[in-house]
Amino acid sequence: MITLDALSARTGRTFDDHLDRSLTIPVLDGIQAQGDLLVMPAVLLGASDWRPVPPEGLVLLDGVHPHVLVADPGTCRWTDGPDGPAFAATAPVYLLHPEHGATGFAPGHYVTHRQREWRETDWSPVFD
Amino acid sequence: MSVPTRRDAASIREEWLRVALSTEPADRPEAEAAIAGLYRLNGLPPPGFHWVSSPPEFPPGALTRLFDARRRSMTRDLRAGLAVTWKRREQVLRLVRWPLAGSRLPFRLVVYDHDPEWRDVHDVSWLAEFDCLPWVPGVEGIDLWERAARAGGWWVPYRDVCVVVDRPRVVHTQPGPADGQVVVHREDGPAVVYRDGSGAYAWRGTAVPPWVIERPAADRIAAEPEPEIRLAAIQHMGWPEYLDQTAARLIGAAPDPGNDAELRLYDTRDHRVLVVVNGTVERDGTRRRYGLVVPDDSADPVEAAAWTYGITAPLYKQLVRRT
Repeated sequence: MITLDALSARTGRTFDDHLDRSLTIPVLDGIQAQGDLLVMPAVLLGASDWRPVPPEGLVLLDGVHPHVLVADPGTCRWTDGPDGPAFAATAPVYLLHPEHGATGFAPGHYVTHRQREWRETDWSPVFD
Repeated sequence: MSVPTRRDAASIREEWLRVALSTEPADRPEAEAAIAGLYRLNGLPPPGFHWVSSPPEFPPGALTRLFDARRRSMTRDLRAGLAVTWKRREQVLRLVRWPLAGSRLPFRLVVYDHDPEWRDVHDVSWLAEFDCLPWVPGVEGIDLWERAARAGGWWVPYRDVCVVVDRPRVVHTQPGPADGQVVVHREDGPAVVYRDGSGAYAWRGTAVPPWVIERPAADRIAAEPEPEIRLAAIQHMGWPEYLDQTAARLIGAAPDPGNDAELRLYDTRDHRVLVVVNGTVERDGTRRRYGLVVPDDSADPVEAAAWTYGITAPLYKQLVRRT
């Protein structure tokens, strides 16, 4: 188990200073949402273009603030999923956000969905 | 002929974005030379130039229809003469044209009462598109349009004089809803400040009157005829505050499966709105409530929350943590 403080030291990424840095980030294998980004376990059919998550992390969604996926080398690969990036982890991996803190994912396959809002006749993505 | 790669397309898009967002003073001699060239192409002698620091009320009698008709026939000829594959055209549209065209850049805040379509000539997306594609011999004018845009200034042609608005001194933006998009936006003042100190207000790319930014209030919103402006003012106030001050009808409430707060679904004048509570504590120790507009037929708070993430309600009920 790892704290927000340790994640910040390990990745060099910063969080808003009012967040509790001693908070232990739970590593869960269910559906989790971080603000405007939902991450859910999935069986990915047909994806072949798997790339390693780079040492500096992978921006899963960029907006006003980025959601950055960080993983130890060799433990996580990613590909394009049905509605955003998808990833496969063989060890716990973390999703970091300056305002929302961190979200921990147990080993498994996950897809991401960006949150959306209704706009007259169609939907548009949420700004976060 | 070499075909530019994805990176080239992205760097051309970024370069034109810098042009559109530039706050440098216009290069007046260069702008005047390019615009005089466009007068010549329209069979007109070079005009006098009248530079202004912020968009004025443009008098009637502008030759915008003439200049725009010629521009449209030029772009038609350019498109017809392009020797590139459809795949390449589509790539340029996707990586360059659409992100720029979907952006809400400062030129959109200028009002041309006499000819609202004239605004589109100051859009850089069409110039950036042709910048990515090979040169078409025998079509005159694109270089002049490009030089005028790079030199800066939004111009309106009259027979003897061309009115040119200098670039703004300050531009505030934020990322737009889609990849590569940028929108004018500022929460605490004018998003664009011109060189004479006057300003124009914008909320997430929508031009708004000053009260929307300076003093949004439920009674002003009730009196506002434009739905877009009502929505901008409500978003700036925050949906929860707006709902507290108006007689919105609560359709339903339910525990949020992802955290210990409640999901509340409301019916308002224009929208169905879901109010959710962030899992993360804010600076002041409270947890932020925020509202999301959901489809008009939403009847259940959990279904509405699931819809915002593009999943079904049974799946959303399995959410284990939402921050």
